Amino acid sequence: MPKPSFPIPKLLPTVKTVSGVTVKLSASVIQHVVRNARDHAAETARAIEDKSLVGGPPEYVKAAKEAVKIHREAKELFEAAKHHRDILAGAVGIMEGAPTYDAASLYHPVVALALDAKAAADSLAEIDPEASLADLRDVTEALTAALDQLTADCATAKCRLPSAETEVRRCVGAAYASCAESSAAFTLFKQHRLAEFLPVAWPSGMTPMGAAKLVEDTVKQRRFGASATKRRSKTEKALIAARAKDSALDRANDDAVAALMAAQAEGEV
Amino acid sequence: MTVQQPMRQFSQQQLIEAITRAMKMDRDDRDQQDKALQGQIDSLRDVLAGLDVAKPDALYRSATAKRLAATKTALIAYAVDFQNHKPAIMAGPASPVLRKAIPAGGA
Repeated sequence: MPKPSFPIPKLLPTVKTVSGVTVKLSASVIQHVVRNARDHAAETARAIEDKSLVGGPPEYVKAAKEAVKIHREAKELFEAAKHHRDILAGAVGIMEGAPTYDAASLYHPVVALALDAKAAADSLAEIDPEASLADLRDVTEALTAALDQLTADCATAKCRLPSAETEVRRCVGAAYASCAESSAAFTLFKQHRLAEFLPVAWPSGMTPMGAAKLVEDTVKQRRFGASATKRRSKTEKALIAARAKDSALDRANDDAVAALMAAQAEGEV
Repeated sequence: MTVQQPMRQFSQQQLIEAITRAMKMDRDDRDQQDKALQGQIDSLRDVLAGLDVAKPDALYRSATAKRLAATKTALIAYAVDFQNHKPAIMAGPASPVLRKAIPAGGA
């Protein structure tokens, strides 16, 4: 391969969110980010529901606000990655000889370079069609592999986003419930405008007292469910032990019968 | 006192010979000139043959091949970077949770 003598800068698969965070992407980073946001919201929600978070209701509201922010950050990153996926799809289309392409995407270096490469390959096609086709194929294969991975990553992240949002709303709901016992927390809740992130299943106009009752019920159900699981687990263990004991007794019985039969056979002889 | 020279008389044969001789000399001169010009043309052709500018197609092909190689390298490196390298936060106000998921500068 001839040494490139053109000043082409190194391209990086980076995206920038609307909040200004620049991230260099890799194969499954988006789904990982969304999962982390969901796990963080779930942990925070549980801590608020169980009142195990240090600082009391005002801190619960702050924690809920943080969970909302983290979820929004993950969502923005997902949107940026989706846009990048479209850019990449456009570049692959150009390499494959698509008759049209989105002119607005031309500003992106990947699309501009893909056009450049395709034009050069087409120019050389008349002289050395095989080499030209091989070059086109190499680039198209590499870009398609990256596109497939990014598409799969975005699809998985998209599946996880609703559950992440549910956890965030659960978090905000628990924080709202804590406002029943703290006016300072309620003021903070209103300041952060968190009402729009309350659980969607909750009726509109819910008071902090009503929310506290709902959250209390949820926690009771969760605890009951956990203890039921624990009980079920204990019963299952006892059953397994009993079966094992039964099998051992059966085996001992079989051995005794076999020994008796052997003794009888010897006596007969 | 001037002496008038009698006019020289030429026969028709002499005139024909003189004209033929003049024409031959003229033709010889032109042949000489043609040969000289041809020599110059050949020299120039040799000079041009040694220059790339004499082969614009070859020059264009070479430049296009370089361009293709450079763009191909950049695009494949980009795809490989995405597939095989770690993610990284390059800039911006990222939350601690995002920083935990994607260490700054790659892990």
